Amino acid sequence: MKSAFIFGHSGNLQDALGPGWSVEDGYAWAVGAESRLTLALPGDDTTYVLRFVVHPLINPGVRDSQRAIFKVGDAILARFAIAERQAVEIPLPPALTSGVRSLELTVEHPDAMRPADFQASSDLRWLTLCFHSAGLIGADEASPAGDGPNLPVVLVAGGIVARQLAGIASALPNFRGRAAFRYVDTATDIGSAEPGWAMGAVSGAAACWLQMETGRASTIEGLGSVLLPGTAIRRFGVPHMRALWPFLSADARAVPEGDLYPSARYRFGDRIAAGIRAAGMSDDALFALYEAAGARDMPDLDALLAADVADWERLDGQSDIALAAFLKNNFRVERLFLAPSVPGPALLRALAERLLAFPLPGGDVPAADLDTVMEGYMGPREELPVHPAVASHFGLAWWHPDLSYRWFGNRLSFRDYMLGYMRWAAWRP
Amino acid sequence: MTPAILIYGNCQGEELMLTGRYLPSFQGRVAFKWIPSHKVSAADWDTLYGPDFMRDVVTVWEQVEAGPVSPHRAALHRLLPAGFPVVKFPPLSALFLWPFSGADPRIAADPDRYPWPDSVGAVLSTEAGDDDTLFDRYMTMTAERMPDLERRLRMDAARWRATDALADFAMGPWVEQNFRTTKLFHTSGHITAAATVVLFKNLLRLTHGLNLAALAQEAHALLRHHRGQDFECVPIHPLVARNLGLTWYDLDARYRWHGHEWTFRQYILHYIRWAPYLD
Repeated sequence: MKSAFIFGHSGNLQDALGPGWSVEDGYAWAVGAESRLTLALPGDDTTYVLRFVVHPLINPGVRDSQRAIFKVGDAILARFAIAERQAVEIPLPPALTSGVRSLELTVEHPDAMRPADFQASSDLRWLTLCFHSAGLIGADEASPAGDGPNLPVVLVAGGIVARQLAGIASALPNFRGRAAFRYVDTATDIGSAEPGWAMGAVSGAAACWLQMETGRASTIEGLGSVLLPGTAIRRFGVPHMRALWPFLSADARAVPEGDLYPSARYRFGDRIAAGIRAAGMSDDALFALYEAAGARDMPDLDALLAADVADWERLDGQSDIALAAFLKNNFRVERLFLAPSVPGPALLRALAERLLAFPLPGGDVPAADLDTVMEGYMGPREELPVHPAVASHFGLAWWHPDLSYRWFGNRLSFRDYMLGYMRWAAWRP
Repeated sequence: MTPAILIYGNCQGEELMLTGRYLPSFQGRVAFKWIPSHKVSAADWDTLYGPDFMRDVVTVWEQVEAGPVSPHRAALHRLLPAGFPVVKFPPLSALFLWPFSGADPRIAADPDRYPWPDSVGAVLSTEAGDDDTLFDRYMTMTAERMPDLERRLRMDAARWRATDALADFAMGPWVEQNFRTTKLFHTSGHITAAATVVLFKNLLRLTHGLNLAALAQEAHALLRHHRGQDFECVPIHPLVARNLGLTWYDLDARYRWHGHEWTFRQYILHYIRWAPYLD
């Protein structure tokens, strides 16, 4: 958009409106039979479209729309009958804009009404159309070609993390108009769920990022079989971490509860909390019991970390990207995991950075662009609180005692979460 | 058949429905349904909301609106026999907290990216400049154009009185008494859990046959850590917070915007640039 024009007292058209307007805070009514306005133009050779956002005054059954005729001098540019709030577009002939610095528009509106005549209103103004905004838009931009079917496609296949990576890549300016990232959920049957994929975009994909150790084997095999020979497939694993949640275990209460909790009310079990009978206890007593039991039964955290590292290295061995060293060096400094199987933004960024380093149709991605897209990104709202003793043992720089955790629609302290877990309390997403 | 409470209203109705569904005492005993008044189509009344849909409904919570009865509201009323239990509640809105909410021509072509228009951000969207320059321009222009906020508040209060008068209980006075000390709105039409819980308790109070004390306590417990309708939080301008004396306001606060949490400055810059974001 070349210029944005905003009607109303807080807008930027105070000096541009001629006769025939009644200006209010956030908009301006075209009043009477005719309104005039002068819009600034850049004076270049671009072909432009003017897009007005307007809504009409109507009296249902009596006057269901407002007519408007947009003119420059005697030349009629466009006619409309406007029945509801809408954007109307007026192509501007180049002769009116090329080398010209302003455009004097007249809007004829022959259907003026006074609200007081048919509503419970004291408004005696002859109102027609309410103008909210206008945009001066290059004709090419007004009718964009869109992504189009001919852009090179990069498939991003896997689970939730694959979907997140496809979203990150799609938001990068490098690939606008150059490549399209398409997510394929490998948990579904690619053949039956989306038959269009198999023969269309999938087979012609320029590259495929494939998340390992998730999804249906038949879908992943099917994907491999329909890709053209030579299509670059980049395999990546999504690491997990258990050392930050040493009491992780199954909990017999963690079963699907219909539409309310399709996975489970608390899907990450805690063996200490699961063993405490909460009924009849005060919050303070209950939490004190948990703290005491946790301190007594704390496992060897360094051994758990060693097991995590071994698993990360195993994953590196199967993957086209390496993360183990990054994870080892950074988990204390950055919050790489929100929950044992939920990567945090810093880990997602590391995954994206490594996958984007392979050749792609859009070219190299500057790190600054990735930073911009991910500014303030928080990742999924499923943050499993970290026990203070664990944070202390590992010296987690990102942790502090007052840290609150996003738990779907809620924000909780470690204590709040543990009390809710022990009581198996209902929570709202 | 589990008796159902039907809620007719905008997205605040969805908030009430979810709260009802997750209340332990209601599970298996009272179901909740919602007809989104802002999305329902004429065909929906024949296809989605026919006699089968209404069969288990024992009470309607109807969100009122000012102005003439819309065709959809009339369609709802036609479904209800005379004397059917209906509790009418007002919509909550707060335009005065976002005084530059207005128009942005970009929304016509891309309505979902930033659906809460900022007219000054729109004006700046075609200007060149780095982040500091653009944000300084935004702050200068908004300071120059800051309207009389008390007048804006009075305009909203007049709207609240109009809808309260149509409802079975009033929320306007409560909003006026509390908006300075408690955050009640994430956008001009999206409410926090603090507002949801008051609305919900009022509806429970006026619904026949419920154990109000126990349910109100459960609702409080369910929502005490909840953020409300926070998937799009439009930051409040620091001058607005200062001029209105919002005691809960934190200049460094981060506001959720889909998958992100941004400061006021970050939000404004993303808005001006119409920047893509992650879910």
